[in-house]
Amino acid sequence: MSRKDWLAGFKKIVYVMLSYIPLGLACGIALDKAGFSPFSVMIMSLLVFAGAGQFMIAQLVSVGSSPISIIVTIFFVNSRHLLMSSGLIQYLKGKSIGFYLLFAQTIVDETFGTNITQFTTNPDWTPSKALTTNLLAHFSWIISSFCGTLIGQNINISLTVVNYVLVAMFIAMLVEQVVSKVHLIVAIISGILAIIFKMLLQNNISLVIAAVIASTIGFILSNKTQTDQKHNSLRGEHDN
Amino acid sequence: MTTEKWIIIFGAAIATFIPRIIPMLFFKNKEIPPSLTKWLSFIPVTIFSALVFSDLVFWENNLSFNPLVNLKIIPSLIVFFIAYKTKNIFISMIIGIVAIALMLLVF
Repeated sequence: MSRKDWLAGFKKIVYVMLSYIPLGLACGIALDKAGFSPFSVMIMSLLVFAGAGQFMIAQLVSVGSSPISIIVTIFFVNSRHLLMSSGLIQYLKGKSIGFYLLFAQTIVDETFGTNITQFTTNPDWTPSKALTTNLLAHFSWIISSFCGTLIGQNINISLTVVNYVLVAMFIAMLVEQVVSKVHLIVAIISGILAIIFKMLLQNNISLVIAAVIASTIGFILSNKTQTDQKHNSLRGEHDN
Repeated sequence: MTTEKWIIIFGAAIATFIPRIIPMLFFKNKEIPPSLTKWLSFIPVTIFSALVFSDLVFWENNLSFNPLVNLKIIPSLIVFFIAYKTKNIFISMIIGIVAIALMLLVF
């Protein structure tokens, strides 16, 4: 990865790095409250790197959940990364095993959204640049969450505002992804399904179920519009 | 710090790494079938929509579409509009954060 790659990556991920400062601080504070030492939070941010997941660990530890139930919950919370990793691999062919291990570890919602947009719209985007965005975001998360544990409970930040940083980012990323009418329909379906399944299941696996069903509907719809177009053009030729 | 907490950290590390790495290792030397690529092209839009709406419509763990109770609704409509007009994630985020802070101040 050249200096140029790091700079290109930095330009695209800087707003994510900035948004991680309040989020990471809040997460560090929550984990400190739950009894995690500053060093352990740094290790956790390095090895787990999951915003919502780490907030959940703090919450579950403070209500006394067992380690195994916490680990299983975290698995379901982050199972959506299975879909993200599958969506990215087509742009990352022929790399070394080390590259895949490093890239996989740094897939989160924010780096996925940034990279998928770049890969689909920017012909200059490369796997190396994508990896730099991932690593820079990861770095910001580790430092911010670590600093959160040092600040501890001395600071009072509104959790509603902190959580909303991500919601606002995800809305903007969602708008970026709506590139056709089919995408818009599928987005609406996925949103409605996600709400319904969240209420039914009370678990973040609802995200995965909603995305899988809605993507399948999108797949069927886009195949159907293509066949319709083919029929129409065939009919057109016949009429002529 | 107790061993139990270290078990949680390392257990969670494995639990989060598995879904991230498996598709990479599985497809790194394989061609992805065109139909699967097409299906996967809907994943970004469906994932982000699911993430947004399963957060947006809940206020203090209750489903609420009332913009005077659920203070995320009005800022989110603004963010949708700004993101659509400017196509700029950073500007959209800043405006959204200012909007929710104002909502919390006023209500």
